[in-house]
Amino acid sequence: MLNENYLLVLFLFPFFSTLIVALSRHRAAAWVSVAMAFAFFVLTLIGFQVHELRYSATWFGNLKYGLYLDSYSYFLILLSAFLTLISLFYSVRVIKEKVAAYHALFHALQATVVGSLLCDDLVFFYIFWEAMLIPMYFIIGIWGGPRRKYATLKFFLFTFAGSLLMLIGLITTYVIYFQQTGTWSASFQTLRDYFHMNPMNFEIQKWIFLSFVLSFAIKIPLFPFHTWLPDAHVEAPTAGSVILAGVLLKMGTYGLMRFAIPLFHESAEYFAGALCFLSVVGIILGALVAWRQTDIKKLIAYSSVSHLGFITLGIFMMTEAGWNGAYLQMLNHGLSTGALFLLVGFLYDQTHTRDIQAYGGLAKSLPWFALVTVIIALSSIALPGTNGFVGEFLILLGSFQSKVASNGWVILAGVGVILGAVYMLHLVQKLLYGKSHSEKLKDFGWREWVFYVPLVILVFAIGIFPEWILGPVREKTTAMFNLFSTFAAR
Amino acid sequence: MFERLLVDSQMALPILGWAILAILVLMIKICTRGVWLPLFATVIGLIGLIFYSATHLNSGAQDLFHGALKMDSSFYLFNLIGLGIHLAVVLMLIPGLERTSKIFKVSYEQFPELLICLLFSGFGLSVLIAASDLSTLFLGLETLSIGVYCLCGFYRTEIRSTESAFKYLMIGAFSTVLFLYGLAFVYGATGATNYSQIQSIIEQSHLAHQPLLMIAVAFLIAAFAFKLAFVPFHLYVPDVYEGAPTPITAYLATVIKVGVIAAAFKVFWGFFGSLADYWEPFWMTLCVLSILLGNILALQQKTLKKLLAYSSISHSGFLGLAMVLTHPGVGTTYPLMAYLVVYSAVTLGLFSSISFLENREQVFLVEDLKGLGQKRFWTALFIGIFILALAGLPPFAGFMIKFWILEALIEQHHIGVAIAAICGSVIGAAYYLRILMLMFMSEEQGSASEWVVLKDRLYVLRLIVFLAAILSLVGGMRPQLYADWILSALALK
Repeated sequence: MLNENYLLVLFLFPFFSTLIVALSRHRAAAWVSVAMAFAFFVLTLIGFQVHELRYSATWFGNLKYGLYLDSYSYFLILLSAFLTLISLFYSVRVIKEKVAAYHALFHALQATVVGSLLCDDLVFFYIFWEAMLIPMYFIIGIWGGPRRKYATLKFFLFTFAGSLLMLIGLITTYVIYFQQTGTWSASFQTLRDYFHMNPMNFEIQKWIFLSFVLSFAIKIPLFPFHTWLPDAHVEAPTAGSVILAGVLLKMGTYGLMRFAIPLFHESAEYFAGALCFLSVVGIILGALVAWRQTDIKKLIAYSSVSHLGFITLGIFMMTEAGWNGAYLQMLNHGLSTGALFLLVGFLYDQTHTRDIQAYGGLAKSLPWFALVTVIIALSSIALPGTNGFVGEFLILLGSFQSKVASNGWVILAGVGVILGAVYMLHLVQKLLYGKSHSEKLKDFGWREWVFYVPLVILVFAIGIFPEWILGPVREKTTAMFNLFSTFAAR
Repeated sequence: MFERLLVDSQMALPILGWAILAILVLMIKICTRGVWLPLFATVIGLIGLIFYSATHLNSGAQDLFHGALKMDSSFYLFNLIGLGIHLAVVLMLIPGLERTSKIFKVSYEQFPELLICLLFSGFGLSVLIAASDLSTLFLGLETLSIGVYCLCGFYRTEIRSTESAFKYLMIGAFSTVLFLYGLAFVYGATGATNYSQIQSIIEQSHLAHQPLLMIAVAFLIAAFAFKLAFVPFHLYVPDVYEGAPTPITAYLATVIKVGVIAAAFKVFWGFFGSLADYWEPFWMTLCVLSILLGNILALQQKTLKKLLAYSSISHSGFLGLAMVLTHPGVGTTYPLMAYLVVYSAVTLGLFSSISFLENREQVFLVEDLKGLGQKRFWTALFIGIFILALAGLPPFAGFMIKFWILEALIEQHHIGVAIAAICGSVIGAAYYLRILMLMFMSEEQGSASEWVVLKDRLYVLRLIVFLAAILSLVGGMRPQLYADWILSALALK
């Protein structure tokens, strides 16, 4: 049986691998890095049966830090480990300059992601949350495309501004706790239990909640804070896009589910309607804009805005089914969008263009590529049988049950699903069918199969048997909603 | 009477030690011709003083010379920080110490004078920190400043250096006048010069509303604001920083702040404590203006040292906030001390890294840093660490010190100030990131990677940079290391 030391190992391992990779020789660095990423993935898999683990220690002075693992954090760590592994494996062949630094930055990113997922202490969470920006800033800025400096600065400043406002909200929360109880604690569990018993002044709570939501909304990104995302995605190297879309965006939705809503449940219900509205706008607008893009990466970036809109809709509708669906959809979006970015990267490495018009008839010249693209695109559209369907179905189901917003919004969101099919099939059609422009492309080699096989298997594994993820997640969600309802009843 | 003086002098060794050392170096300079002997004497003397101060860290508060000076645990701490900065600045000068080097081409023989000025300034610093009487307060501030005027103009043949010294002298004289006016009004209102007497007179005779004291407060705020370079009293800072020799710029950015903030702490929370309602809003407004405008103006700067000057103006604002929040009784001096330690370490490290690259014959433009990451990776990496620490990003120590200030602000219900400080930080991030961008993300090579100025004894600079980098990394991750030390020093734990 695993004990709390497992958490410490899980937490420290990425730091250790960052160091190892940074210090390894130029030629070996890439493979050392993949090996370390694989080791971390295996380490994460070991914890599969774990439902809840806790570890706590004193950091300095008043601030204790605790590590806390449950189903909500576990699957995201698994996703992060998996995506980091495949994107680093993909990068071995692509990145030839400053290899050690590149791989070390990815491991550092992993370390900060895992750190903020595992922490129970708000200050500790915040430190990792903000430190996450530094590796990504360099990854986009050094290995990115021609407009990388603009994109990376925009990415950084947007997120930085949001998170600093959250810092004020966060400090206010635990200062209020201190002023009411006389003891210092920034532990999430302690604060949540306390504020459920003794709710804080609603006027203050509203502002604190908004400061949290602003920060998370920029990261997600929720409409209208999404403008940094297309720039960052277009300029980022392929692996950077995969991690950005697959992992970093999820940190925002995770923050909502883990911190903002449980801590300030009252305000969450108060603002839920408005936030649902923003989500629906994001869904429709993202889909429509995606449809008109000619740059493939931009198209996928806007599709992310649309998909993340679904996830926030599921969250802010405040129903159990919605939350389960939103959580599952976080994982699904990580897998399918990650895979789409890898597929674009595969094309881009050979042709050096991302313009949709430059492609056509790839089904004939690249049959395997075409097969995988269609499967992933269908998963993104949410065809029954693929993973996307389960998530979106649960979200819409939860939304119809919800009392937060009228069903009209949900129907509009349903239209978003159709629009999703429109832009995705548009992409598939332009890429795979029609007149062939590019004859001399090579199809998948063994390297590609190494990561597309597990990706495709996962698409169906989650689509047909979602229970292995939904089971533990549902348990957690039920526990959370029980807490909310005792709060509402009191 | 005489015995009492002797005992006091012995007790005041951490203060008088500076002067004794300075006179010793002066003697050596008169008797010998070389530059190395005075240098060794300075370094060894400073290390000795550091050890002496460190061992007396926990001795209780003492009044010396009939209450003219007061040495308590916070004095030892400020003094230690000052000693550390002096040592680092002296060491920073070593690699350029060649008769042929561009830095000392004209003034090689005068090098010991530079050391003497530094040491006398240090003496002024410790008097300023220990002052508990208006006369010693003024003496300390002037002794500190006069040495610094000379230091700024050390490159006599260089027009920028002369301009720097002249500007600083004129502005310094002006702020001194304000300062004297303020002190005179305090004396006029209360009839006493000793801090504790002034305090008890103000409290007992309900002088709080007296116009004379209000004027005194206004003058003193302006005078301190000049010295700390708060906006709108900051206009001299960029030129002075740019013209002064780089190690001296580092000195200006750190020592002056340590001394003046310590003095301001004792003045405002000492005898003006009961007037807090009057001066606190003004002081805070100046701090917020410095944080916002310092960062906004830094965005437009083309030369590196001017950019860092504006950055230091914004950090002055944070430092000022830390001073206000260090309420005796409510807060702890912890944010203030931590801010001074981390900020000084980062600044010294950054300026040491710059003096690695600097070429005195050209102005160091920010653009010159282009492509430094390719050519001189390690220098660029360390500059990057210091820049991120100045920007206040976790996991660097710069984050923690900002965090404590924000925490104290919110705890004392200054949410608006906290939000303004945050806005300043976000604006600041833009130009800090621009430096990183130029160093690591640019394909072209700027001229900084071509300049080779310093060749010998670079290990000294590397040592400073390395130590500063450790402090700016470890400070953020495990503040326990120095938190315990500081807390136990203040007997708060």
